[in-house]
Amino acid sequence: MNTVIHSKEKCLTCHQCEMACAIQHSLSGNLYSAINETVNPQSRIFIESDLSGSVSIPNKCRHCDPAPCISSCPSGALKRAEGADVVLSDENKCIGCRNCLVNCPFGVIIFRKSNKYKSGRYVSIKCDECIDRTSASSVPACVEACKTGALRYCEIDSHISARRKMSLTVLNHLYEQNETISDQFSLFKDLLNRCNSIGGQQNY
Amino acid sequence: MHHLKSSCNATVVMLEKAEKDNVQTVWDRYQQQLPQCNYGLLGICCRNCNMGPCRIDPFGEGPQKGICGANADIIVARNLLINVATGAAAHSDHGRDIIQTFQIATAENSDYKIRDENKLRSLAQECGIPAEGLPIKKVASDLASMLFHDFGRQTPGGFPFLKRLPHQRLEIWEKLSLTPRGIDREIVESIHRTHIGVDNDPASLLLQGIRTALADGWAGSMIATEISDILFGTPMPKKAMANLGVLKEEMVNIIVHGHEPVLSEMIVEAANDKKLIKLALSKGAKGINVCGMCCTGNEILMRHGVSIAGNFLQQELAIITGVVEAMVVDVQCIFPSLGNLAKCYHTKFISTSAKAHFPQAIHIELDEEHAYQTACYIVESAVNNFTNRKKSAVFIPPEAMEANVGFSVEAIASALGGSFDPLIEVIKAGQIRGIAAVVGCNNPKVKHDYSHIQLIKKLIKNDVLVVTTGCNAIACAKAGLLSVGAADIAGQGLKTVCNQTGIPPVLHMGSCVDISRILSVAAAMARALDCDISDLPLAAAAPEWMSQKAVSIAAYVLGSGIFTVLGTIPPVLGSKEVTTLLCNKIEELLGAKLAVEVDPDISASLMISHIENKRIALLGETVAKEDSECMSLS
Repeated sequence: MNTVIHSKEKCLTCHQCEMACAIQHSLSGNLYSAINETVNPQSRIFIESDLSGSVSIPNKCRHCDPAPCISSCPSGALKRAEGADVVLSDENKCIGCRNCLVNCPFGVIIFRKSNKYKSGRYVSIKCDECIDRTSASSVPACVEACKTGALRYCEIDSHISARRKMSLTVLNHLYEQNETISDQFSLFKDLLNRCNSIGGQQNY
Repeated sequence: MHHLKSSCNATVVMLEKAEKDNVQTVWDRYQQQLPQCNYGLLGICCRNCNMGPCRIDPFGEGPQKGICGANADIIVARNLLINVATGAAAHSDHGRDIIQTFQIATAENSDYKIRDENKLRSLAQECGIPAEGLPIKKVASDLASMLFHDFGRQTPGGFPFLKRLPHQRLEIWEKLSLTPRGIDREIVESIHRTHIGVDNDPASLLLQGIRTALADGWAGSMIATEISDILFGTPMPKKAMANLGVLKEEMVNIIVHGHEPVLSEMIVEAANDKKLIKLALSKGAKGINVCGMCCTGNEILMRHGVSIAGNFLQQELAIITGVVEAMVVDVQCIFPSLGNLAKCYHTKFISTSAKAHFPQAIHIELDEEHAYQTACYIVESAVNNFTNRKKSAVFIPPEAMEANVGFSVEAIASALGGSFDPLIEVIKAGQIRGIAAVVGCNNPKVKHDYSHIQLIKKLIKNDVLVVTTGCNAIACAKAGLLSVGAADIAGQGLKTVCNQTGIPPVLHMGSCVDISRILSVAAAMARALDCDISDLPLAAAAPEWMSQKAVSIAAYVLGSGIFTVLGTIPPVLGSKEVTTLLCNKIEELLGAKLAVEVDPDISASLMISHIENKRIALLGETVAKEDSECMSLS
């Protein structure tokens, strides 16, 4: 089963995944119309970064099993999708009790007005792993928007082997102390860290 | 799948070859960029100063101001101004290069000649320079000096060509402080205003953009057009061939690409050199075949009927045919990918401008004092390359369409019997409803050539005469719209006029700087009818635009009072204020506005209904002509 996994090393804090997610879940599905919708399109993925940007992590729903949000939902709004490993929120059934918000270890369930059901109530809104797109053999919007590969959508074993390939570089570097193995991006992040530590970047 | 990328069959077929040859094209790189940055698309990313980069959250939750305090409206307007300035700079620098060549032409033994003495004398007279009975080189020298001054003017109203405009338009500019001062000054001030902490009012930024563009359209570009006519000949109607099929397997093929005829004219001349032709024959070729691409291609097409191989998006495909011995370029619209691509074939990619260096290019700088010599050297190196062709890599698509080209202002007047009066009469009578200028680039964001052709077909069907330049004109040439036979698909009124005068329903007026020809015609018509340009039944469109020059053109066409439809979305929608200003409020100030419409059918309807409304107001018609395909007038 395919899933979305992030690589924090590759996240450039560009926020395109957030934009793409918001547009994907807007009423019009189109950038130019979405910015004019009365109910603001909402992203369900969040870039968590420290203020210097040296650490930047895309944070989204993990579709846990068992899911703490489902376990705590009294109205049955949160459910696992049939035939897909995805936890969905039914914005119409949600009573707004916020149990899910409190129980989610990642804080990725938000409460906003639904654009689908114009009740005016604040309901739980969360990542649906773009089930409409993936069931049509496409990738989630956040993954499509990510140009560095920080977000990938594939079999979990493929993610694991990718990480092992990355660890080889690190392990090799540790063993050989070979300075020519330059992950240019990690050098940049290192520079940011040093700037941070000598007060080069003011963070309020 | 490639047929979705282009409506030009030669292009589709060459994309198949590109895939087979495993080479990358602009379309591949466009796909890789998708989805493009949403902040960029909306124009709400600012990278001007080093406090940034900054972005505005269009959904209202994240930052609403950049670090300096600029909101989305300011950021969008500033970005637009930079684009106008860049486009104006490109056109005006081209104009500057033409005048420098003009000055060289006045020297003894120059390779550059003055070919249209009549135009020189009449232009000099128009600019207040004595020409009666004086030696031609003296007149030329004085005219060159005067026009050179346009670049360095500091106060408004000095450009000689402003006298072509109706007083109503000049009064509007005066009232809004839009009368351009100097070509270089406007560009410098525009860039100054985008410096952090200078101009932070959207309307102010946009008006400076209009003023800068006017210094391009009515000076920079116009100088390029008029002096190029004097140097290289004023275009007169002629036939020529268009599309990749103009490349010939049995010839040494040289493509000239870029913009300034300073280069292309010399290459055409050098290719006629007897020694070089002999050399080509000795290599087993049947001769030397020079073909143009983009605007420099348009320049030699208009003046000499030199074949044109294609427009902007086809530049890589020309190399991919495997029969191009050399692609010789100067400035503007040249892909930096060409050098690398040429290395996959035997093609020599030769850059010639000190201003324009490219990766993997062979740089042979065109020395204007010894231009013919340099050009011969370039042509010779192409001829010597003929034997390096890889036979297995050769494929030329057969498409080559005959087109009627060469419609300068002088040529149109001549075709109409000596003046524009007959045209004004048929417009008044309603046989021709109005005139549409359809211009501009290609863009992989839309299907190549599709919007250009669909829009124009609908316009001529509705008896709107179309004038065209640039890559649009090349698209029309390839699609057969520049043939007299194209009148068959025009409306009855336009068809009749075409059949009577022998002109096609779509008139190729030249390169992008030659949009200044269109401005001159519009101004002349307005003066003849004693009205403003904005009162005329005119509309403009750039259905597939992409360059910064197009932004400058849209700004000066708008500033001159002509309703303009853009077919690719400009990066302004992140600002409600700028969008409203350009598409609505600016009409109160300038008598014209912009519209953004991606569907060419709807664009045509917008232009047609605009033209009909202008007819009602100007000519006192009580009811607009209804067309069943038009959307209702609103």
